[in-house]
Amino acid sequence: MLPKLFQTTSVRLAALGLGLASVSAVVLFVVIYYGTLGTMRATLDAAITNEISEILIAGPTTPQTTVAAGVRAALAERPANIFFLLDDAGGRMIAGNLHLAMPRPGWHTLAAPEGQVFAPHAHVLRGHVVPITGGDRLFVAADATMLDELNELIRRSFMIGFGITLAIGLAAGIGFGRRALARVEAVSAAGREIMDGDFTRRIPLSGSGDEFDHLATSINAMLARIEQLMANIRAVGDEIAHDLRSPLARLRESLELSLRVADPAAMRGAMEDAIGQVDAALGLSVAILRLAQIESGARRASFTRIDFSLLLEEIAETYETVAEDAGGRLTATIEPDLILTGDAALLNQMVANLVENAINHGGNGTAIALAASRAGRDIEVTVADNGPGIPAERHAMALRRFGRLDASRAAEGHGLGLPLAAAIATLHDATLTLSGARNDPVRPGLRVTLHFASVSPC
Amino acid sequence: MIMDPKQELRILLIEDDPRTAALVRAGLEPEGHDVAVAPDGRAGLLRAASESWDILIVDRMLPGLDGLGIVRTLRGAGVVTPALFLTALGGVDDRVDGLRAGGDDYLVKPFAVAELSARIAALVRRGAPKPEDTILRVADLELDRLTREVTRAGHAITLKPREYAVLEYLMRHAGQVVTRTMLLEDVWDFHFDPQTSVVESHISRLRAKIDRGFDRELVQTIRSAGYRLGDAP
Repeated sequence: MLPKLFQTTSVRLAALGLGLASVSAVVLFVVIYYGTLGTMRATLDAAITNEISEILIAGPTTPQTTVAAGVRAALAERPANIFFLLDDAGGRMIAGNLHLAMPRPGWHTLAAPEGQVFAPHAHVLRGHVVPITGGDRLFVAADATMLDELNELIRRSFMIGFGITLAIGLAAGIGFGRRALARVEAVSAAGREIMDGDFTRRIPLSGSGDEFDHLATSINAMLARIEQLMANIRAVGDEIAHDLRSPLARLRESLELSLRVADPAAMRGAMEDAIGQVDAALGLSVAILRLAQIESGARRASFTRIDFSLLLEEIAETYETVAEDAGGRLTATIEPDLILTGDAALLNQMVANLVENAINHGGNGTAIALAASRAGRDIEVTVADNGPGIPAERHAMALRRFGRLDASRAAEGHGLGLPLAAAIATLHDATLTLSGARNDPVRPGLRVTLHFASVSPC
Repeated sequence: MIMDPKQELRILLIEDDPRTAALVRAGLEPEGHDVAVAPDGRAGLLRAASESWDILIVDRMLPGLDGLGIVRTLRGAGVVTPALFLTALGGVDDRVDGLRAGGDDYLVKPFAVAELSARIAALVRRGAPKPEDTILRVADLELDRLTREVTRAGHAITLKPREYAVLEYLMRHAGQVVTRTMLLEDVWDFHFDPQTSVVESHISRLRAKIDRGFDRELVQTIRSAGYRLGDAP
């Protein structure tokens, strides 16, 4: 678990954030430190230097007696926090109020040993040792205890603050990292269950609408599609087997019959009948292939701009004639200049399919209305008839492959008309919906509505 | 007799499936054609390029060289012999690919021999009107492609657009059999099998307008094959 944790992007980002925070903290520390302490020490040092220059009136060559006198004079003023020490070359104290070993020449910050003080409340001294002629040394120092305490305070505050930042950062990093990991793990787990065959599984959403939720939503949509495709495949397998059996069974009957008849004319008849059955089976398999091709979306690549109004008018003209011959009537109301991007051959097939269904299922005297118009930026096409229609509860079945509405599969055609039309509609970003066409409960008719989404205006 | 007896063609069939080859031979030879079969792509390409033929029938799926490649190569070499593809691939895109490769027609297996025969005749039509011919004539029937006027024995005949299109197609293929599929594909641009009598309805309308009341029936139904416009044999 642990190594995986540190590989997550979350933790890496947290570490980066932590690093930046640390750098800024350090910069801040440096600024404060040198801002406060630095200034204070400079002030102190200036005071010490001032004292030294008042005593060493002639610089380092000032005679020992003058220096000693100067020290005593300074001490006589009883300065509160200034300390003096004048030693001779041998290290013997000549004057001063400080009792310690003379440090080397230069600036020093001295801390009193544990338990001791240089003077009441003076734990730390800051001073300057100046060598003067004759090997003597003058040490002038000031009480720097407060400086030291401030130093400690700043350092401690910084450490605490830094420590807290580090802890929070790490906790947050690990916390978020673990949460992210858990979300990803949920997706992986769902994936494994799906691979094992449970296509109903979906990835839970946290409801926060964050990137993980978006990912989960996309994956769920994909899973829903997979579930649908799997169901289709199962259904198709069953139905193809059944639907191919009928013509092949009849074919066998015809051929066996032709074996038994002696009359050549009858045999010819039986064989021609057999060819008819084969054609029916072939028609079915071609339709299946066409449907598969359409659903795979491969045809989109060859889409072109099409004058849809013209296409519909030609279909209307063609089927006016056919409808008349079937004892019915077709009327068309087509708005001009409807432009669509798509595949003309497939659109032809789709609309022709719908009109043919109306002609074939309507019976004598059927009136069919083909209409096309703009609906905002969309295009709507309807094929309505006054035939027996399809009951609402069987609409879904009608759009399914091979979902034949009459129990006997002996009826003409392969039952793929509506599913093919629906697949072509989907390929063109359109929806196909079924509804009743009239209020008549006996013959409600069927209205097929094709709604093409946001087509660019002509 | 399906074919115009004057058309006896030299046909090269490039096909590796012996059964298909036998069927094509059995269907076309009785009509007087000379059918040679090349059983693979390379032999086919060689014979197509080195001998003269009236028409090439090429299977798209051949071992070795593929049918499209053969036709493309021939076209590149300047061979203009009409070529018809035979194929098990029936997608509309496949048809477009075939035509783009230089083929002139495309037939999906399994096909009826009558269909193949009619399409071959259409591709090799001799005496066919040229695209520039503006007036088409069959017996006393006349069609003017510019004015879209149709007359028979001097009487003007009014046709709806689809009826006109069918008649024009029949007249451009006068004397030859035109199959239902050819009409669906070339006049209607329908690349599917309609579930209604689209072609039959329009033919019967056409008959009513241009044959009824005249001395001769020009629109003939050829059983199991299709239709033909012309004088009865």
